[in-house]
Amino acid sequence: MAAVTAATPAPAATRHRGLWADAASRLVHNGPAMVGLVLVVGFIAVALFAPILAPYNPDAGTIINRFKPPSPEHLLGTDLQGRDILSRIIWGARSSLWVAVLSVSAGLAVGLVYGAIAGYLGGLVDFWMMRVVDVMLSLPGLLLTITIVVFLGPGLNTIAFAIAVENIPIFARLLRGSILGLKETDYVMASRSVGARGQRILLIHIMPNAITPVIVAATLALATAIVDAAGLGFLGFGPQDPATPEWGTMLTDTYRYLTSGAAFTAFFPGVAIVLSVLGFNLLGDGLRESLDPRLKR
Amino acid sequence: MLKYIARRLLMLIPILLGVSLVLIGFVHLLPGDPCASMLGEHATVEKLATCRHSYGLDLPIWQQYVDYMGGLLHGDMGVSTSTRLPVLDQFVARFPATVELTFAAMLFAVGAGIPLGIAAAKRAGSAFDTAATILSLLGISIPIFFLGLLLAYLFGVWLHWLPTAGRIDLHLYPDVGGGFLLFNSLVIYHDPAMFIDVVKHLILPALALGTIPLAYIVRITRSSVLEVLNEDYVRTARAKGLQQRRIDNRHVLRNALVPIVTVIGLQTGLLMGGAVLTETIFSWGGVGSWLFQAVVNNDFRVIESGTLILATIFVLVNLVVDVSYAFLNPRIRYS
Repeated sequence: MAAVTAATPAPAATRHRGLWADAASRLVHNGPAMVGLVLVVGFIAVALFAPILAPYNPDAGTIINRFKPPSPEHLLGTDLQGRDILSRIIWGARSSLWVAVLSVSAGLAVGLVYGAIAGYLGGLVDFWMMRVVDVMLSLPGLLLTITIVVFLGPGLNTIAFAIAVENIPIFARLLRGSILGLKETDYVMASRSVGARGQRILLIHIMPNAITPVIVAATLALATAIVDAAGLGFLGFGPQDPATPEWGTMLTDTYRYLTSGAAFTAFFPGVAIVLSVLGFNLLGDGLRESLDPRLKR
Repeated sequence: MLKYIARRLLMLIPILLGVSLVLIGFVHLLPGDPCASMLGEHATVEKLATCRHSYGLDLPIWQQYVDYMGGLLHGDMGVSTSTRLPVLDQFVARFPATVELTFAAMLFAVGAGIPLGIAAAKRAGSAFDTAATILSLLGISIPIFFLGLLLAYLFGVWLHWLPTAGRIDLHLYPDVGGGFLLFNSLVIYHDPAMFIDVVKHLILPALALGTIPLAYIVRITRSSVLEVLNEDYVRTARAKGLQQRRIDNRHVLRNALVPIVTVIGLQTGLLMGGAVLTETIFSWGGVGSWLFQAVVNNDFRVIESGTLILATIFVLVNLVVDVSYAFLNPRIRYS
């Protein structure tokens, strides 16, 4: 009998903390996700404090200083125009963060409303709204963004807009799928049976549960947005003002000098892209696992 | 099953009509006049008017759309404004390069990804598993153009092992032209040296393009196999004393294949959509760089028809994937 008593868990251990507190606890204990969080926080901090952190003006340089290899004076060397690469990478973080946040939040805002309407109304409305999504998804993504950027002119805001357009159908379909699944759950039925209105059911009962996969997708979409923006910059559609450094554009500038012993000029901006993207991917994966405890690494 | 395929093929019509509507609307919003860019700055008003008339650009947009769709029904995809060649001919000339690149990239991604994913799942939690997980995460995080540059620098510029541009050495084979070079070198020219040269040119772009699909395939294979490994029927098979290889092939992999095939299909469709960045870095004359140039040059007919063909391929690849589920998993029935 004593053994039975000892084996009974203490009441504190069974205390229910709620979905988000549980998820946060799981996230904190997830090593790779924490590495991701550190990378993401580092990336955001570099972007926010660029004026303090950058050792030089990112646009200042003389041709005499061109292609200087890494040295104590210029930790990551200098580029074709003799500008400090480290300073340009630090300022470039601002461009990447701006495009990523703007494109994902705009894509989320439109995609969520669209997906929620389709998923909740169902029937013919849903059918036709999803066919529009099918059309959008069957267009080649990068070509779609390039076409939009050619139409609107190069620059960070147009790149963000183009990536947002690419994101809308993805978020819409995801949320709509979640809502369809949740609409038939017992607690939604129960809520309906006690007379709750449609809008209330959607906002109070369905959305908080349906939004979980969207949060994960949005974190991963931030990573994709950084890569896409750098890709468009690489193709020459980045900011045209040399005073606004952008990582992809930095790679285009240096692409031609790979054979002239200045490969480092291409290497460091590339590493900056990889680290920031890796951060969001690790964090996104960690969020997915902590929000859905059934998934195990 | 046949009914299901027929219904899915019928669904193609509204989707492609939608795609064509979006495209034609989009392309006509593009700034600039294709005739002005074709004829240059010094073109007379009369010449511009004649050009616009010959391409039907002086008609209302709905009339242009109806004429274009009418042409499509007769196999006429229009004429490029920059090269003045039929769009279909240009597509046919460039498509083999894209197919070969996609094939090589997917061969690498599937050939390495599935064994790596299975091995990682079977040693879940080990150092090998962690390494595979980190590598696949890096694969997803590295931009294609940066990886392409690294590969070109390492194997081309530094080690001089592999060529970094084009599909074949034009100094050695000046008259080969385009087409399926892997196939042609062996079957038409019977030239193994040419085949090796084509393979050498294919390696770096295929590695660059295949890395993202590889990373996704490793991840999905790992998680899918891990799930199946814990199933009762696998334990039963093991308890019966079946050979490990037989358990892996017949019980584990076969049941884990549905999500893996989904990822393979999706990635193949995406790669067919034109690898603009890879083709730009490795000067690969495929569909991606052709469409990219068309967008830059405002070659409206190429953009419309080229993208429409790619969208059709994408939807068809997805259909093939959906149908393949029924073969992989007999429990899946289509009605």
